[in-house]
Amino acid sequence: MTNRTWGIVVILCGVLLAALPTFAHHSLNSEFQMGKPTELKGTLMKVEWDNPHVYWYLDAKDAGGSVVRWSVEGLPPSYLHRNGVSRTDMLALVGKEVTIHGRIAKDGSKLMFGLDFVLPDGRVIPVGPKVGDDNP
Amino acid sequence: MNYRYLLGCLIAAAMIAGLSSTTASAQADRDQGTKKYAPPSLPTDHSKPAPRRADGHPDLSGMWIEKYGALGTDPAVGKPGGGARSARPASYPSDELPYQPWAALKARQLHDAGNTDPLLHCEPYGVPRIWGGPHPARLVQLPGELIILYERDTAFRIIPTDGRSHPADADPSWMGNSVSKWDGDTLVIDTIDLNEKSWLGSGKNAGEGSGTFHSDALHVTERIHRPDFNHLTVEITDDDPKVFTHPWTYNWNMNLVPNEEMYEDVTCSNEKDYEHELPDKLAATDKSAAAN
Repeated sequence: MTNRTWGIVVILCGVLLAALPTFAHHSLNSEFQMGKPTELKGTLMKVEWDNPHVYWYLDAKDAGGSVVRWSVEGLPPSYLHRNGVSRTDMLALVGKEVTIHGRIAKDGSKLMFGLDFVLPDGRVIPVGPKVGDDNP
Repeated sequence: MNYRYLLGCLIAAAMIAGLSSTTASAQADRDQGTKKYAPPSLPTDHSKPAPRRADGHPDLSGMWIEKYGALGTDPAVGKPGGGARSARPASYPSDELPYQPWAALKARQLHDAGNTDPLLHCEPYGVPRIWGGPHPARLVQLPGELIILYERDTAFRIIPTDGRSHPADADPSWMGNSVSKWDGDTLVIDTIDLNEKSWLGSGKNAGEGSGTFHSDALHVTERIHRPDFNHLTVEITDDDPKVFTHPWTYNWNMNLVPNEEMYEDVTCSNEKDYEHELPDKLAATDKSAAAN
């Protein structure tokens, strides 16, 4: 393949990558593995509905079967409230089994940036920015 | 050039794009539930004129927001190869700004350090980074002054509109000292005496600061215009001869959100990111800055 052909492929791939969201009021590329989608399944234990980031705490089993406490960081309360996700909705999930999709921390800590919740009945609650929204 | 290779690559790219489109539909399906996770529709009518005050000037008062988007789900769920994708910027956001070569290099170094954003250290946004994004600003126009209440940072500004000059002895501050005057139907706000601690953001993304530092010589001009009832344009010019080669200008186009409310948005009550930020060096793309 010629250099020019590779160049076109690179440009096309770049267009596809550009559709992905970035997050939050400061750069999170230094903190999270943005290219590594992760799924956590466990029991929601606690909700911190606070600025500038909501935090959820999830107890999930690791590969050895031990329960591990994960922190899941989210957008600010105003952004969630304005889009129909309320503190009350989230507090109602405490004690329930949920699946959370997101991006885990680079530093190896049990921390993830949350993008959506999947409830036991299959309902999905979006908590991340919309694709293409580059300034949440 | 071997066009068969090119054709094959284009077909492959089209298939990937098609897959992306298909999964985008699946993504939309995932977002559908018993509840709508999106804000209400905004008024878009451009025909209704901006209201005017008794003094003849346009009334800029109202709740305005630049970004009013819906929430989204994880775009990688259900996508083959989703794990190989990256949301890292392809180049330094600070390269969008006309930095002098030494300053462009410093901005990149601040980005690469990973934990240098003032927001991570519980510091304010400052002018002009306070504008833009998903947090509304409430403008209250009174005789002789404009009050701006920002949801972001739970901050405010009180700006004289009577044409007065800057005081000679204003202390440097995050919001600086602002005065204003009318240029036809546009209110022109002139801000100096800014400290050198804040970052500017970029014209595309105020939240993503990425090393966009400035000096104490920063001079910000905000031209606020209400072209019709439902829209407000904030044109910002950043002039800083100590770090830029020339002034640069960008716009925030804001919509009226008459039924929206303001929420508390303090910077640091629950900020825990600092301890997890690691160096994040991007590949340099602008050879002129890298060479200096």
